[in-house]
This record gives sequence, structure tokens and C-alpha cells, in this order.
Amino acid sequence: MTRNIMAESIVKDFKGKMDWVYVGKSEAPKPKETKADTLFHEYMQKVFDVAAPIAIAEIEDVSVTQGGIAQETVDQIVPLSLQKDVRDKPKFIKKWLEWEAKASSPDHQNRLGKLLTSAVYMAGSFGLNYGGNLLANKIFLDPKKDALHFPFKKTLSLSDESGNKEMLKAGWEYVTDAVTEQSTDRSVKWLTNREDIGFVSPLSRALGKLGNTAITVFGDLKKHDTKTFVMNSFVNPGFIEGLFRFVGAIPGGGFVKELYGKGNAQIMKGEGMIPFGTDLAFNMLIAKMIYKQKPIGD
Amino acid sequence: MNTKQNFINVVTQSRVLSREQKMELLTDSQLSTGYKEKLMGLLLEFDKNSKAREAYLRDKMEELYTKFIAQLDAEKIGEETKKELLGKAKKQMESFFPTLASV
Repeated sequence: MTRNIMAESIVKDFKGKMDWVYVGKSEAPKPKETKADTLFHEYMQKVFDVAAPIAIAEIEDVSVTQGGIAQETVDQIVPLSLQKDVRDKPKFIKKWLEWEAKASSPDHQNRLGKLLTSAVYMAGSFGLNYGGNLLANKIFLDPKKDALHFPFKKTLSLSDESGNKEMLKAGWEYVTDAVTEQSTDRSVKWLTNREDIGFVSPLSRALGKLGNTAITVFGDLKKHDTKTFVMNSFVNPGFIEGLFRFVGAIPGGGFVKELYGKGNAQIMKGEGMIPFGTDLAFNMLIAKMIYKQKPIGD
Repeated sequence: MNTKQNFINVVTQSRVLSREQKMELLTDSQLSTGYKEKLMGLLLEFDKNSKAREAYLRDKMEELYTKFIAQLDAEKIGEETKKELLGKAKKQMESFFPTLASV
């Protein structure tokens, strides 16, 4: 490799001129050093003292720049080789491979770490929500209770006809979801010692709310069945976010990571199919809920 | 100046690229514009720093050379020896700056 940099000239120069090599018998006469030679050697020492740190800085800068060039070249080569390999494959396979290559790039390494972290967050979010639901069942959603008693002889009926139980359950679900979301966000801030990042993204938040509404509409709240109870504990922003991240980190799950990123971008912009779809689903669920409530009012 | 021409100029004048790297970059037609722009950023940054280092080193070398002449005069070194030593020192100094013409 031929390169024309200052540092290499300096190093080469000193190596050639400053090494004294004596060959032969020990009694061979050493060169006589005059005053002029001493002055010259002193001068050369000063030159070296100035030039050496600059040469080192130059060599370091060469390494950093060549490293940057190599990194950029890898990023350039991966999609090109991918195109070559999958040229004859169907479009969706090409897209899938492209997303997978992106997820496996050097910028997105440490999949095992991501899988474990996501799993911990999923378990934590589920546990927190499940615990919250258990607590609610013990305190105010107990099937045996027909009313809640407050100070000053105030009473809130929990009869099936009143709808208060459903109201409390939906409200409690909202609170536990908010607590889960806040807890995961806060823990990420603590762990990373940064205030500008969080765990739950807008897409998971929207899906969590949508999921809860769907469970409220389709689940039979009055029966307090275990299936609905467990399902309710799964559907929370922290668990959904963890699930997205977990699946996105599994080899082959690159497409989930990509779609998840695009979904979040749509929600933040308020444009596209996902915001439209969630609004549509909310409207339909509310209509269904109102229909379910009608016979009670009759 | 368009990106293509700009890229050719930056690569050709780069101080950090080897001759082989320059040839590869200038003959590869598959390079994307984004890649070329990122590479130009890296190359220009290195060249800017390298020129600054070279300018600093040249100033210091001139300073040391002037002091060396004064020392030789103070020690009353003979003209012949002085000429020989200054010639060696000058040659030494010039060998540090292979890219002197580009600064």
C-alpha cells in the first residue's frame, strides 16, 4: 500500500538516520564527534521531540479515518450483495431479507442482550398488571360484593344493572396500564442514567388502549373468568413493547422491527393506515359497547 | 460542481487513501451517492486536520532551524561544516513534508 502521508515520512526518516550500527571487533574505532556534530545531534533531538507527537497523531487519525471508510464500505456492500443473492426471489422475500440484513448489521448487534432485557420487561409488566388486577378483585371488584361503602354513609352500587363495576374495572385497567408504562419508562431512565429516553413507544401505548377496550367489549366482565383476567394482564403497553422488541431481536424477526418502527413513525405523524385503523377500531368498539348497554337501560 | 466530479477531486487529492484505494473508488460505478458523500466527509475531515498538523510542524521546524543557525554562528563553526550541517538539516526538514506543494 503506498500512501503519501507526513507521519510515515517522519517515522521512516528517523529510523534511517538515527540508528547507529557498529559491526566488527570491539576495538574498532568509533567515529570522532566534534562540537558541530554535537550541535547537530541536539538539533535533531529537538526536531524529534516536536515531530514525534505530530506523527503519532497523524497515524491515529489515519486509523480512525480508514476505520470509518471500512464501516461505510461494509454498509454499502451488504445491500449490494443482498440484491445479487435474491435477484430472482419474490418481492416479499427480498424485502424480508433486506430487513433481516438491516437488523443484523453492526449497528444492531447484541441480540441476546436485547432478548433477555425484553423478556424481563415483559415479565415485569405482566406481573405488575396481574398484581394490580388481583388487588382490585380483593378490594372493590370482588364478585360477592354488591356495593362499595364510603364515609358519610355514601354507597356505590355494584349490581350488574348499575354498570358501576364495569366502569371501575375499565378505570382500574387504565390506572394499572399507566403505572406499568411509567414504571418501565422510569426503570430505563435509571438503568441508562438518561432522562431523554423511555421504554414504551406510541404504537404500544395505542395498541394497549385498543386491546383493553376490546377486552372490555368482548370479554364477559360480569363472570370474572380467569381467561379475561389473564388476558387483561397481558394487554398493557409495557408487555406489548417488550413483545415487539423481543420478536424484533429474534433472528428472522427483522421485519417486525422494521414494521414496528414504521408503525411508530405513522402514529407520531398522525398519518397513514395505523392511526386510521386504531381510530376506526375505537369507533367500532364504542358502537358495540353502546349496543351491549342498551338492554340494561330498557 | 456535481457530486461525481467533487468525489473524483476529493479522492484524487486525498492524503489518507493509498493508490490502490483511489483506483478502486474511482473505477467502481456501483457506488451510491450517499456512500460517496459520507466518504467525502471523512476524507475532507482528515485532509483538513492533516494540513493543520503540517502547517504547525513547518512553523516549528522553521523556528528550530533558525535557532540552529544562530547556535552554529555562536559556536563559530567553520563555513564549510556549517554549510554541510545546514544542508543536512534542510534536507531532513523537507523530507517531513511529502505533500508540501498541496498546502
